[in-house]
Amino acid sequence: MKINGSHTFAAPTEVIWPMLLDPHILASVMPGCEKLEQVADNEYQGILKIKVGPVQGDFNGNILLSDIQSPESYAIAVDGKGAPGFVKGNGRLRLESDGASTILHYEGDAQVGGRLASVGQRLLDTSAKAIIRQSLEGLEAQIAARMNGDGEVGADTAAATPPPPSQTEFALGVARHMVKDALADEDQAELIRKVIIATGGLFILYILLDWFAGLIAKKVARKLK
Amino acid sequence: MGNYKGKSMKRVEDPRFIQGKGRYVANLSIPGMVHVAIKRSPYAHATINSVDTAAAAALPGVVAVYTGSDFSNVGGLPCGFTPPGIKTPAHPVVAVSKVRHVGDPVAVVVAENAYIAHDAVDLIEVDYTPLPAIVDAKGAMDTGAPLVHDDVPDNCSFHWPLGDKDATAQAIASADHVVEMELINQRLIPNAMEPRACVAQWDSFMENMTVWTTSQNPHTIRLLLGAFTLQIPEHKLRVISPDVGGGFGSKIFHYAEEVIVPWVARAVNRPAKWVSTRSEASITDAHGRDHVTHAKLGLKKDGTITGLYVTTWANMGAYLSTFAPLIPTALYITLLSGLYKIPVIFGETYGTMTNTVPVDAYRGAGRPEASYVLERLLDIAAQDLKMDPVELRRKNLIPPNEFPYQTPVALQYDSGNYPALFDKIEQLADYKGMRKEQEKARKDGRLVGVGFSSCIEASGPAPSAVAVGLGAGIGLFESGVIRVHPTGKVTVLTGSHAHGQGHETTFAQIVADELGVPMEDVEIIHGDTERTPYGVGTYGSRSAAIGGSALVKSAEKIRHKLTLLAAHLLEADPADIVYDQNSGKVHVKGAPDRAKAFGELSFALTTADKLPPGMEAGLEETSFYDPANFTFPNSAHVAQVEIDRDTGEVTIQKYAAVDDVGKVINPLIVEGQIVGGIVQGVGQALWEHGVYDENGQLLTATMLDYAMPRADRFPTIQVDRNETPSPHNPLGVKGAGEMGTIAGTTTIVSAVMDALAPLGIRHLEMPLTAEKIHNAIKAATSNGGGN
Repeated sequence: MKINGSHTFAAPTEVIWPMLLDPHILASVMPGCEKLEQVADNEYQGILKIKVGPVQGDFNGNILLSDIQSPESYAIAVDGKGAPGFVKGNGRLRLESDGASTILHYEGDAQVGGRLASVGQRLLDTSAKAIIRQSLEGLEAQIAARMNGDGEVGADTAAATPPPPSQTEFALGVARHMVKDALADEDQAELIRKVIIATGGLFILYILLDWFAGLIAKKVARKLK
Repeated sequence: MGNYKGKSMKRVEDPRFIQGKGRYVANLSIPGMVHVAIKRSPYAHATINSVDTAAAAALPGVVAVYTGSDFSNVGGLPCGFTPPGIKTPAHPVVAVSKVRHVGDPVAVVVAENAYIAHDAVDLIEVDYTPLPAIVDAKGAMDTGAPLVHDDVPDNCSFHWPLGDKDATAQAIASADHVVEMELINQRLIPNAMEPRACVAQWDSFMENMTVWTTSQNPHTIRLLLGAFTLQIPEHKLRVISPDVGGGFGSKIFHYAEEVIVPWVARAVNRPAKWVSTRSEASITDAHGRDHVTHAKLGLKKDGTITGLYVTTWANMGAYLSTFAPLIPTALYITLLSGLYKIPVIFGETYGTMTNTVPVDAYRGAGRPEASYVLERLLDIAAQDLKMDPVELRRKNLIPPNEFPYQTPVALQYDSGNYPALFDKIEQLADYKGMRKEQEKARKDGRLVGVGFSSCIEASGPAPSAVAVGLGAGIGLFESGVIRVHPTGKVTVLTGSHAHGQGHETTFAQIVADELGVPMEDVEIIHGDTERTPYGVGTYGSRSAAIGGSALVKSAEKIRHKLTLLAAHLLEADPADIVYDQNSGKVHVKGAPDRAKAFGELSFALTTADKLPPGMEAGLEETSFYDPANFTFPNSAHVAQVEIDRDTGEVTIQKYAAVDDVGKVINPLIVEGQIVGGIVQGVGQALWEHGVYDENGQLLTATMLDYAMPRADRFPTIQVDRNETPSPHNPLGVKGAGEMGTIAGTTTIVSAVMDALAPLGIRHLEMPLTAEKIHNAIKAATSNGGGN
C-alpha cells in the first residue's frame, strides 16, 4: 500500500517541527492511538486501536525515526503487529517553508498482512487515508490552539490538547471520506437530495401503512365481536 | 426396460435439505465436547522464532494449547500422486520452524467453547522473521526467486512431458500459419456452500477413533489417517462423512485439521470439534487452476490443424496437496487433443512451489485448463484465417467412424459423434441467426459477441492399473453392495459419496430397475467407513459410471441367485426361468403364473429350508467395479453476450448447451449438473479471481472481494443432449458433473472476445471484469483502433 500526500499548515516550520517529534502530541491527534511513549533516542512504542471494516484490534507498534534533518525531514519506520495482522512500513516526512505557512509532504510504503489484509483489503486504502487526514486535522487544531495561545514552542500543551476522535467519530470520518472519494461534489449534493426524498417518501409510506393497518385492525376487531 | 432409469425422478434427499433437516458435521454436538481453533500465519513466508502461548493458556475456559513440536508423533500430510522424479517436500500438520503461506497453522487452541477458542488464538504471540515470498507460477522458477523448500531446487517439484517433442516442433515450424499465445488460467477459490468441519471422538477403552469430516471420500481419508498421519490402525478408525454441502473437489483432500482434531480428542480424552469460518476457508481449502501457459498451434491455410505445442507452469502452492500433481499432468496434457484430429501434440508441465495456498482439483480439474488453451487458440486461428470459428472446428473434428480414437496424448476416446453434436447445437442455439443478429448490432455500433466452444472431458479416471502406473497412490475402482432383507426391502451400500450429486436418488433408480422393485424399497447408504465396503469416493465425474456400474454388477449376481432359487422352487430348468425386471417376478418362460415374487424369494433365503443344493442362505452381493477406460463426455456450447461500451459490463443474452453424457439415469439431475456447471464456469470467465499481492497476502479472502456468480446474471440456459452411450460400462453412462464448468468458461470468453474483436482487441486474461473490458475499450479506441 502506497501512501503519499501533502498538507499545508498555517504556521511556520519552527512551530511544527517539534510537534512532529513529540509523542504526546502525535498520540493525541492520531485516531485510535492509545499510547505512544519514547523508549530510546528516536524510538517510540505505542498501541494503536484499529478498526477496518469487520477487522478490529490493538496493534503494538514500534516506531523508529532516522536520518533526522532538523528542522526539515526525517525517515520513519513502523513495525506493528497484533491479533488482526501486521503492518510494516517505511516513509518520510518533509517540511517545506512557504512564507508564514508550512507544507508537510509525506510518503511511504506499507506492507499489511493477516486478517487486516485479507478481510479489510477493500477498505484499507480509505481507512489509511482517513487516519492520515484525521491526524492532520487534529494536528491543525493543535497548531491553531498554539498559534492563538501564547505560541510558546515546547510549552506544556496538555490543557490545550483536544481529545483524539472517538471510534464513532473515526467511523463517520471514514464514511465521509469514502463518499468524498467516490463521488464528485455535484453527485454528493444529488445524493443528499435523494436521501432526503427517500426518507420523506418512506415516512409518508409509513403513515399510509400505519393508517391502513389501523383500518384492518378495526375491521378484524368488529368481526371478532 | 425398467421403471425409473431415464426418468426425472424428484430427488429423494431434497425434502430433508429444503426443510433444514440435513445432518452436517457442524450440526454434531457430543456431550463434553471441546472446541478447536487454529492460529494461522499472517506471513506468506517466515521463520518461526518462538511461539508464546502463556496468555492463551491462562484464559479461563482454555483446555490446552499446542504448537508444532507437540505434533512430532504424527506424520506429515502425504501426496497421493507421485509421478517418477517428483520432489515431494514435507508438509507438517502444524508448522514447526517455518511458515510457507498465509494460513499455515502454527498453534492449536482447545477450549470449552468456540468463542473462547477464537479469543485465545488472538492471545498467542508468535515471533516471526519474515522472508521474501514468491507467488507466481512461472516466476517461481526464475533464478534468484525465494526458495519455498530447501529440498526443491528452483521451486520445481516436477516436470511432466508427454508426446513427440521434436515432431511437434517440426510440424509447427513448417505450418502455414502459427498461433502463438501466452495464456493465464487464473487462481480460483472454491466456495462450497458448507465450509469444512471436523469432529472426533476417542474411545479410550476400545482405543477406537471416530472422525466425522466433510469429505468427498471418507475411505481415502481413513487410509491416509491410518497409514500416514495419525497412524491409528485402520481397523480402529472410523471415518464418517454425513451430509456434505458441496465439495467441487476441495473436499477430496486430506487436510491438517482432519489430523489435528482427532489428535486433540485423544490428547484431552474428550470429543473435539473444529468448524472453518468462511475467510479461514479461503486461506486453507485447496485452490484451483493457476496456470501460466505458452502455446503454439500450427495450421494449414485451409484451417487444418497440423500440431500443438504447449508448455505450462502450474502453481502447486506451498505444499503438494493430496492429488495436486495429477491435475496439471494426466488430467490436463492428455486432454489437449479436444474433439479434434491433431497429428502431433507435445505438452509439458512444470509444477512449481510458491508461498500460496496449495492448489489441487477444482471442478473440471485440468480439463477446463486444457480446453481453454485449445479453444482460445482455435478462436484466434479462425480470426487470423478469416474463417467462421465453427467451420474451422468442424474441419478438424474426429469423424464418427474413427472411434475408438487414439489421440497423440495417451487417451483413447471410446465413443462420440461430434458432427452430430455440432449440428444439434447450431440448431438449438440458432447459431446462424445469432450471427445475423450480431452483424446487425455491429452496424448499430453495439458490441455483441457470439461464443462457441466444444469440449472433451475424460471422466472417471481409470483403469486402476493405468492410474497407479502414472503415479496414483490408490486404485480407482468402486464398490457396491446390495443387501436384500428378508421382506424384500433393499439396502444399498456404496463406496461412492454424495455431496450434492443426488446418489440417494439415481443409485436407487438403478437398483430398483435392476431388481424390479419399487424405488421406495431401496435405501442408499454412503459415507461411513464402518457401514460401507472400501470405496474410492466421488470426484472426476466418476460416480454413475463406476459406482453405478458396481451396483449393476451386484444386481446381476442377485438376479442370478434368485433365478437359480426360483428354478429350484418352480421345478424348472434355470435356462427356462425369466427374471421380469419390471415387476421383480421370477417366472417360467411362457408361463407368467408359475412365478415367485421378489419378496417370496428373499424370504425363502431367510427360512433357508428349501434351497437348492450348494446355495447359501441370505441375499447380499458385493462387487468392486474397475472400468476399462475413462468415459469421454463431450459438448458444444454457444453463447451470445453484449458489452456495454461505456462500462464494460457483460450481459449474457443467450446460452445454449448440447452435451453428450452418454445414457442418462435422471435427466433432472443431469440438467442441474450441466446448468450449475455452466454457471460455475462463467464465474471463472467473468468474475472470480484469487489474487495474491507480491508479498503473498491473499487479497480476496472474503466474498466482498471474491465475486461469485449470481442467478440474476444469467438468462435461461437451454440444454439438450446428444446421446452416444459409453460402450464399456453396463449403464452406458458418461460423467456429467464437470462438463458444464469446462465449457462454460471457454464459451463466455469466446463470446466476449468476439464482441471486442472489431476494436482490435485480440485477447484479455480472465476474469473479464467490467473494469478490465472498460480499460481495454478505452485503450483500443484512444489508439485509433476500432470501428
